[in-house]
Amino acid sequence: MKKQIRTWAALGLAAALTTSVAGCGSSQSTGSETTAAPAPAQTQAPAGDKTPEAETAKAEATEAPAAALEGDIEIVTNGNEETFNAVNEILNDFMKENPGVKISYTTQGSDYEQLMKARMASNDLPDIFATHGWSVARYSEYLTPLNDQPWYSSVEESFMSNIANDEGQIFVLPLNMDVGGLLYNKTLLKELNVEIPKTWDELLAICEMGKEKGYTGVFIAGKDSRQPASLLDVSAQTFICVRKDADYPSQLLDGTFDWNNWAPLSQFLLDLKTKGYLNPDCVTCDPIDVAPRMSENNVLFLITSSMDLIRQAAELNPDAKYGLAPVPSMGEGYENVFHGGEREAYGIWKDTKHMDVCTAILEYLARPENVKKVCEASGKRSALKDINPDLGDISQDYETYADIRICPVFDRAYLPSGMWSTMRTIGSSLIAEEMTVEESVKTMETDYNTLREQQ
Amino acid sequence: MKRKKNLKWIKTLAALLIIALHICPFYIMINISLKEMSDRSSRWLPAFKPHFENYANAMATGNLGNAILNTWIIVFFSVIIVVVVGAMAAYPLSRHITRRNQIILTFVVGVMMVPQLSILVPLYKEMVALKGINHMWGIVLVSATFHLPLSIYMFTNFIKTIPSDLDEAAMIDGCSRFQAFFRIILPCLKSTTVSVIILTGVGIWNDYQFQLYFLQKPALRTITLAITTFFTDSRQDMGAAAAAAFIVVLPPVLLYICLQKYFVQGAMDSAVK
Amino acid sequence: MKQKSRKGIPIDILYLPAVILLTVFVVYPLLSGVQISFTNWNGYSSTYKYIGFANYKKMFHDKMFYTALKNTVIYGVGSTTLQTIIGISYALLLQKKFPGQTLARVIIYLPAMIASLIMGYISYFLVQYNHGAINDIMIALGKEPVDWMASGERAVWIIVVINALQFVGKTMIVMIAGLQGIPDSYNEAASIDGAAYLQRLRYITLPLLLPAITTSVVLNLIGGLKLFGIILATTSGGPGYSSHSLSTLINYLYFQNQNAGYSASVGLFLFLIIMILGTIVRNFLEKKAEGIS
Repeated sequence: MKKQIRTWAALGLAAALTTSVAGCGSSQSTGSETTAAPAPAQTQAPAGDKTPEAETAKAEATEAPAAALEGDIEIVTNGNEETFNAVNEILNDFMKENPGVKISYTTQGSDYEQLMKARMASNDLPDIFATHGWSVARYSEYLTPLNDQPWYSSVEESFMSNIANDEGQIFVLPLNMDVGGLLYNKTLLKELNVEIPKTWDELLAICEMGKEKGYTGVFIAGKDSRQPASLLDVSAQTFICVRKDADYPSQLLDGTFDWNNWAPLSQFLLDLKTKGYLNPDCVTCDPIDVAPRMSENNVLFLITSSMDLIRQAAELNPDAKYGLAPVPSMGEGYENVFHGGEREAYGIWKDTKHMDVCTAILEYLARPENVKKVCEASGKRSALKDINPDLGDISQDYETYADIRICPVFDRAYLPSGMWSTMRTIGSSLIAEEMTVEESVKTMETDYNTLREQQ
Repeated sequence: MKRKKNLKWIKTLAALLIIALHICPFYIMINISLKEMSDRSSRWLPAFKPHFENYANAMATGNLGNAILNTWIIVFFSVIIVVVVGAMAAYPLSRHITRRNQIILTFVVGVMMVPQLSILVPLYKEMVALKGINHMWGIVLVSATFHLPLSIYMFTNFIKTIPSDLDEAAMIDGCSRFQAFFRIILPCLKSTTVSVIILTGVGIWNDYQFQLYFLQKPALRTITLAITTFFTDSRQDMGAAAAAAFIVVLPPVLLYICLQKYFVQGAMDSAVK
Repeated sequence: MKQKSRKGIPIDILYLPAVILLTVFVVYPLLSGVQISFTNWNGYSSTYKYIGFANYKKMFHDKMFYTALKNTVIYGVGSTTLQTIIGISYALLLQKKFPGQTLARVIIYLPAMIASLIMGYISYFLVQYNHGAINDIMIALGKEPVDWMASGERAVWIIVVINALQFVGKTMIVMIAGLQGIPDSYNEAASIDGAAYLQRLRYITLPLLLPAITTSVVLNLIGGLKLFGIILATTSGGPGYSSHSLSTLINYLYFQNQNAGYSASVGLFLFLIIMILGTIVRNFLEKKAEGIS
C-alpha cells in the first residue's frame, strides 16, 4: 500500500504546488509577455475556427487579454498511471495559465491501439495524441510536421533516428524514452558470484547455475503476448542488427533479407524454454504479476524495455534490487547495445481546429521542468537534452553505460508496420512449444512479404 | 415419511455443495480485494486484517460513482426503446402472418446472430458520420438496436399464446387494430416486459465493445470501461481491481435477489411459450 | 384477417421503427463489412485495393483460421451441452421447496449477471499458476501445481467450463419454468403405474421440457459461438493462437495484424456459421417438440 500512500501524498503536494506555480505563471504572462508562442498563434486562430462554439469562444476572446488561447482540446495517451498523472498535472497548470483552454486528457490503456485505428479509419482523431513508437510508420499521414517548433533543437541527436522520417521530418514531441536491455537481480548474481553477462552464452551459463538453486533464469509474463514479443524485439538488437558479419538491417529494409537468419533468435527463445530457464508459468502469467514475482527475489533476469519494473519491485520489497545492463552480444568482440525508442511522445493531428493551442501545449510540455517531472514520475530517461532527471538507483546504471549506443527499436525501424503482431504470435507459440523454429521463421517471412506489399 | 425427510437432507446437502462451488470465485475476489498487494498469502486464507483502502482507491481512481450513473442512464433509455419498439413490432409479426412478415421475423432472428465484432468498425465509421460518438444518444440507439431482436423474439412468442379471439372480439366491438393492440394486448405483456427489461438490461449493463468505442471521454466512462482499466497494463494493482469488480458486481446482484420471482415468471411466460 | 385497419393504415407499420433501427445499425454496417472483405485494407489508412476473393481463398489454407474455427465449435457445442445437462439437473434438484433451495437458486444465477470479461478476470485468479486458487488446493493436497492454461487444448476446455458455469443459472431458470408448466397429474399418474424416477424422467419429464430446452439451447449456442470476453480475459487467445475463437481472431486480425479485409471475411464466415448451426438446431428441436404434442 506504500505505493498508494505515496501517490496520494504526491497528489496533495502537486495540488499545493500547482496553485503556487499557476500564480507565478499568470503574473509572468500578464507582465512581460516573455513567451513567444501565443503571439503568432493568435494570427492563425480565425482561419480554422468555423464552428459555432468557436464563434462564441471568439466573442468571449475579445474581452480577454489579446494573447489568450481558446478551445476545447482532446488529448489521448496509452501511458501508464504514473506518467498519466504527471502529464495531467502539467496540463492542469497549463489550463490555469490559459483559462480559455479546456483540455480533456485520457488514458486508454491496452485498448489504445484499437481505438486509434478505428479513429484513423474515420478520420476523427484527437487534437493531440501519443504515438507509442509509431509516429512515422503509422501515424505520420495524420500528423503535423513539427520541425519548426522552438523545442526542436533540444531533442537528443541520437534519438532523432527514432522519430524522423526519410526526409528528416519529425511529427512528435518525445518526452521520455523506453530503454530496453537486460534487467538482472543484483543480490542473486552476487550470491552466485558471477559478473553481469556480456554475451548470450554467459547469460545461459548463469541461468544454468541459477536453475540448480531453484531460481528462474529469465522471467516472462506470456499471457500478454507482447511480453515474449518484446523479448524477441530487444534480443534482435544483437542477434540481427549490430552484426559485424552481415548488414541485415539494410537487407530487411530493401526486402532481400534471408529469413533463415532469424532462426537463431527463435531457437534462443525455445532453448530458454526447453532447458527450463523460464518461469514454469511463462505462458500464462499475467503482466500484472511481474513486479510481485520480481519482489520474491528468485528471478535472475528479464529481457525487457519496461525499466519501471525495477522501481515497482523495490516498492513491494526493498530487498529486491535489480539493475539495468545492455543487451548481451553474440560473442566476444561483438558490440553490446541498448534498445531504445520513444515512449511518451505527443503529436498534433493535422486537421485539428486549434493548431495554435496545440502547439502551445506541446511547447509547454517541452519546458525542462515539465519534461523532468514526467521522466521522474515514469522512471524513464529523457528524450530531450540537458534534463538530468533523478531516476533513483537506475541513474547509476545509465551513467555506467553512458557510452553504450542506443539503437532504435528493432521492429519499428526495420519491419513493416503490422509485424509486431506476428512477433507476438510466434513468441507466444514458441514458449508454449506449439510452433517449431522452422514454422516461426516461415510465419515471419510470409507476413513480412504480405505487409510489405500493402505499403 | 422418513424416507422423504432423508431425501430433503440429501437435497440440502447437494445444494450446499453446489453453492460452495459457485461462490468460490466471489470469495476469492473479495479476499483479494481485502488484502494488500504485498500480501502474498494464499487466496483462500481470509484477510484477517481487512484492508479497505483498496475500495477507497477503486472508487476514487476509477471514478466509479460517475461510471455507475452513466451506466444507469444508458441502460434506462435503451431498455425503454427495446421494450416499446420491440412490443410494437411483435404485434403485427405474431398476429398478421403474411409471407412478408415471416421474412421480416426470420430477418430479426438472423440479426440476433450477427456478432458485434463483425460490424464494429463499419458501425464506428457510420457513427462518426452521424456525429454519434461521445454522445449518449449514440450508444443508447446502438445498444437498444442490438437487443431489439431478443425483445421482438420474446414478445412475438408470448403474443402467439394469447388467444386471437381476444383482439378479434375487440375489433368487432369497433376497435381498430391499433386500439386492439394498445388496449387489449399491451396490458397482457406485463410479465414478459419484466423479463425483457431484466435480460436486455443486464446485457447492456455488461456490454463492453460498444461502450469502449462509442464513449471515449472519461466523463462518459461506464462501469465495464472503468473496471477493465484496472486490469489492463496501465495499472498494476490487483487489490483495487478486485475491489472495483466487487463494487460493480453488487448492483445487478442486488437487483437479481430482489426480482428473483420475476425471473422465473418471465422465463416461464416467454421463453417456454 | 383483414389486411388493413379501418382507418386504412396497415398494422404492419408497427414494426417499421424496429426495421429501420436494425437496417441502419446492423444491416448497413454488415454490408460495408462485405465490401471491406474484398479489399486489402489495413484497417486505418485511407487507401486500399480491391483484391477479389483472395481473402476468402486465404481462409482455407490458414492454420490459425482452422484452429479458431475448431475452437469456436467446441466453445459453442461444448458449453451448450454442459449448460443443458447441468442446468436440467439443477432445475430438477431445485424445483421443489426445501431448506437451502432459494439460496442455491440465487447463488447459481449470480455469475450470469456479471460481464463475461469481468468473470474472465476473476477466473484468472483461480487458474493462475502462481498463487492461483486451484493450485493452492493442489499444493495443500501434496500435488504438484499445474499450469492450467499452458496447453491450448486444455485451455479451450477450461474456458468451456467457465462459460458453462457462468451461464448455467440462465438455463436452470428456463428449465425450472418449464418444469412448473408440467402438470403434476402426469407424474402422479406415472408413479401410480410404478414407473421408476429415471423412467419418468426419460419418458415424461424430458419430452415435455423440449420447448424449454429448444429456447435455451438456441440462445446458449449463439452465445457460445460468439464467445469473446472470457477468452480475452483468461488467455487472450494464447498460448500462441491455440485458444482463439473466431470472434477473438476477428479482433486480432483487425486491430493487431492490420488485416481488416481478411478480418471482415472471417467475420462474415462466423455470421454464416452461427446462422446455419442455429437454424439447424432450432428446426430439429422444434420438429421434435411438435412430434410430441
